[in-house]
Amino acid sequence: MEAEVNMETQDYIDGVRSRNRRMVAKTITLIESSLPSHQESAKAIVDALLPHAGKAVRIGITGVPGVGKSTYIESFGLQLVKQGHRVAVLAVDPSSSKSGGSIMGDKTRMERLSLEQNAFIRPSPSGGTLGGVARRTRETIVVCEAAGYDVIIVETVGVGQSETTVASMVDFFLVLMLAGAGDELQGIKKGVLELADAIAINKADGNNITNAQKAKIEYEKALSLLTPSSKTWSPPVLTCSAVTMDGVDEIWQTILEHRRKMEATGELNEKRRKQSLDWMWALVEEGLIDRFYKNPGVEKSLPKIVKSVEDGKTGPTIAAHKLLYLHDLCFSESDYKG
Amino acid sequence: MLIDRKIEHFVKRAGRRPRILVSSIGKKQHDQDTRLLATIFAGRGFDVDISPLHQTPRGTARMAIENDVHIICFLSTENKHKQLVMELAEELQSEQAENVRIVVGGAIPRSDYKFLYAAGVDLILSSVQANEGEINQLLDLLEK
Repeated sequence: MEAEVNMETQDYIDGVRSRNRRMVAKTITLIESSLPSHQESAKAIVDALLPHAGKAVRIGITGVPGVGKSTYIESFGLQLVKQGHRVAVLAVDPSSSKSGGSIMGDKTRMERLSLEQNAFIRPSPSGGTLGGVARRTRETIVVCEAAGYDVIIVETVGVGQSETTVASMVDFFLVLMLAGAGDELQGIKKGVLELADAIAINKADGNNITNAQKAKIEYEKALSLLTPSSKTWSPPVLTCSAVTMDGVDEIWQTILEHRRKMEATGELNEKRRKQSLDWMWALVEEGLIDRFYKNPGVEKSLPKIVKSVEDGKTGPTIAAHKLLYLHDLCFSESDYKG
Repeated sequence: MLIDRKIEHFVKRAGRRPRILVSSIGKKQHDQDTRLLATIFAGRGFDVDISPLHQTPRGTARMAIENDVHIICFLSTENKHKQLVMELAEELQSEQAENVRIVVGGAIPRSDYKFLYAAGVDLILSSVQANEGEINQLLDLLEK
């Protein structure tokens, strides 16, 4: 049996507060667990840690596969550690929908950072549900902050809706791009650019520097067409190289400047308050879905109704209506397991 | 019992999939064998972490703790497995993580088996891959 089952909630809280690496890891495991009893403990732990969180700089980093996210985070993280920061890197890896398993390779490119005393890197399998990831990552941020990490980096693969989710839990959202592909703007969604607090053209080294400069101008043009989400901040386009370290510090300075401005205008507070609300709504949605599946009435009839839609005997609209009706019907009498 | 059923059972009990760290401990470069091994485990429903290169026993133990894995698995190179296993077991112990299972594979001579089991290895793979029977055994080990 896993040891965490027997440990007391207070042990986790004390462990995290005393910056014990193993206890931070175990607490994250608890947060990620699908067992109701673990989730119950996790809720209590996160709640107790919440007053000790909130002081870190939260940075979201996205980019298409191959843009060099992990290598960039390695360079960026090492530099921050050198400056005396404590850095936590959280990364979400998609699980296979076929086997349910996953391969998490984030650390393969974070060779040096993963050995730093003041760094903590934790990849997490997405487990199939995007909603679940959002809750778990938010709670994990709280745990890392309570454990004294003052820079939290949330890495996301540049596919699907994950960018929006991550942007809704960080202070600064950095989008990494590549130059030299020709059609600079092809393949990126306008939505991602709207979320960006800065764009960085990565791999601006060697023969690629000219291309990176060209791409910078293209992206600047593209950004100028968008209405910035803040009156005080227009997202800049920067170039960097995780290999030569050129521009890496400039990005950190940009993040700090963004923070100073946002703090001065009160926008940071406002953003975080809004994010608390996002968090609440995400929990409500997740809870509703959970209740739906655990509802005895739904549970009983679900396979039958699913089969009937598959066979073409019932239309999807009628079936959905039926299921929701069943849920409402059992609402009062069902004593939820979760 | 089928592997799928065992994994399902594990998830119900532990609240997550069995998580395994496939480490390139002792290796100088990423090799096909280590990657293939990781793919096999992921394909059977494990959550798989792959370690960075130039991994030491200490680095491997730390990563195992940080990612909270159930198992560490690595392939023997240059006949250093005895030394590496001893160091790894020691590192895990000093971090109070001795419940992490150790699996080694690759070209390991039969004559080393006794030594390795005594040093803390839980399972020895007969080749550079993990076959059905071995994955079954591994899942049984996790229930103990």
